[in-house]
Amino acid sequence: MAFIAMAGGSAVAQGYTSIHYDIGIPLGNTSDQITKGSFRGVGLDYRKAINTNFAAGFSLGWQVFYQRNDYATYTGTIGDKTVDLTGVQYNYLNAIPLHGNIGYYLGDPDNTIRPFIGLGIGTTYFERRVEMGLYVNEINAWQFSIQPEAGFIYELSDSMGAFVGAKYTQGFTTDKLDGQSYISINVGFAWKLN
Amino acid sequence: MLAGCHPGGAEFVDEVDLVLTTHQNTYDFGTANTFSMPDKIPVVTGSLLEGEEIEYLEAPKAELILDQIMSNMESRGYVYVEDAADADLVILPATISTTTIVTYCDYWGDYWGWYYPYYGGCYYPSAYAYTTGSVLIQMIENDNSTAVVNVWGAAVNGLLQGSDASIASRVQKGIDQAFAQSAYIKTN
Repeated sequence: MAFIAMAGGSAVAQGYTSIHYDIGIPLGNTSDQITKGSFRGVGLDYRKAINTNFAAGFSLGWQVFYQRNDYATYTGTIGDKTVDLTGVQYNYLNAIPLHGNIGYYLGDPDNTIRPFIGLGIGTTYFERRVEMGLYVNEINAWQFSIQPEAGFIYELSDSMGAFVGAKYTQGFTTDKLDGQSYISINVGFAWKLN
Repeated sequence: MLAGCHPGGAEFVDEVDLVLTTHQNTYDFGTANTFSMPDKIPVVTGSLLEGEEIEYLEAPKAELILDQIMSNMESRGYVYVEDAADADLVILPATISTTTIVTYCDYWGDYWGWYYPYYGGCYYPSAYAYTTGSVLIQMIENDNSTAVVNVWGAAVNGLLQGSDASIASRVQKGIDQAFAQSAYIKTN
């Protein structure tokens, strides 16, 4: 049975649910604070077939970025005074994307490998946190975000397949936080819906 | 709103040490040649009442801080004078310590109690405390006017944890760092 197909002669639609381990690569404003990749990520996708090539659903995820900056000096100004602060800095970004998605599945539904491209539109919750000494600066913001994606499902059995993909999450600037962005590489499994 | 994941973080006491300095951009430190300091360091308690005596830091600890400041200033070409009235710059160190107590609940249990709220509540209340200390250094331009112009300030902050020797070492390192990030403090 194929991933994303319509059962012949009936109105029963198929689709899949996938759970995957995500590796995050910071970009843009996110990489201004954290350049190190994230190996702490997880995602869940739900897709219901509209026809043999299109499916719609939603995606959830959680990606944790962390970077320790060694003892260093940071300089700023307040009025006519220059301020220098030295210490070890711990940077964190927690990203929780929530998107409604639509995807296009290429090729024949009966193929073992089913590539896809898709677009998610929704919101991402970002928690950006900086710790220096015993002091914490934390910004929490919901940002409107888009999430284009691409990947493929490799059918392993009648009920499941291996899931490989990549998602680009782009949040848009709010008055609290500059737009954050990152790419996640997704590796996991997909289970067919009946 | 939502709780985040915060892996890693500080593992050792010295990883939370901070050094802050600030200076007047318009002041030329090269125009000064001499400096003065008191021989005692007050402890800021925040609760001193009129008529009460000022509390001072114990002499050995005060000497350590004063010697470190003296060493840094002299290495930059400034000459120490005893009488503050004769000095171009007056340095005023002070210290402050704060103890923070954090209470939290390890287990909210379902049990009946004699007192409100009678059912439920914190079964294992827990607490921990930590003390932080700061060395504050003010550098004032002594232009013999009534106005007090603070041309440079420094704060060395950290946890007061560990042996006296390790704390002393971190304080010395912090004072050295305060001057290291203030390369503009030097005579012409």
